[in-house]
Amino acid sequence: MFRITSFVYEIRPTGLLRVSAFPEPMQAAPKPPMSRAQKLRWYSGQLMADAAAYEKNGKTETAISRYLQAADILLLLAKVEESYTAWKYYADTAAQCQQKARTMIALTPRPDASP
Amino acid sequence: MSFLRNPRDLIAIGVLALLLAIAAYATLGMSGSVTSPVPTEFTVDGRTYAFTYIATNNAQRAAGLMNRQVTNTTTMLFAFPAMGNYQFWMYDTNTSLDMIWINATGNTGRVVYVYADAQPCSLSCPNYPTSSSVDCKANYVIEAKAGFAAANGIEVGTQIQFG
Repeated sequence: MFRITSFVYEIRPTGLLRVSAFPEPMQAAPKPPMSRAQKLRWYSGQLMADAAAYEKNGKTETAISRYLQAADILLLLAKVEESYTAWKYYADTAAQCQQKARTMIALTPRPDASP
Repeated sequence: MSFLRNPRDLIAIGVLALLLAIAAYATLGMSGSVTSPVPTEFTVDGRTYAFTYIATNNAQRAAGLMNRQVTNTTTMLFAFPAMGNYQFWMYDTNTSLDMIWINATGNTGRVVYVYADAQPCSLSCPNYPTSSSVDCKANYVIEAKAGFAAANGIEVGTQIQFG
């Protein structure tokens, strides 16, 4: 078994058989060395981008989950931030993510709700 | 009311009234206490912030945020019994602060002066505003973490709602 570009191939008597694929990441992973705060900032950005993409594709539940995860990460960043300006950015963005999730939850029809 | 005809009684009542007035001044006037209800929160730029600390008398105002752990969410209100040009210093504070002087009537106030990023000090401490010629007549002053005023769009003339 060997890998060519982003696919894994298996050598068979009949020829090459593609057995699995490695999808390219949406955005390149951060290059080391990065501080913990930088990693968390990058991760929260990825979560928000993911959430927006899922929301666009109609996968509301996953989008809600991603928005809430992003809010948690941002609040974690805010908790240890010394600068007021950066703290306000984290706190405001976390509040926006939570508000977005709240709105999406309110708009999602409940399975047990009567028509 | 026959006792009032006696001059000695009148003098006694006068002395008693004088003593009461002195006692009232000592308890209220000397301590500089604010007797009217003091706001517990304020709204600016559509966001509401609750005051972490409120100083309503001379002792509390003198202590201010001295030796307190100031975080990004810390805000302190200095309430004064009358309008005036009040000066502040940063002795023994643990971080730099923004100071906002507000001229308020009722629940609405207008920012009259802002001093941003005042640095902590322990030996040589300047007063803010640094110049006594600055007109900052106010009855409320808010202190918050440095960057608060700029991040919330607070400048001279900004309206502030108290609650």
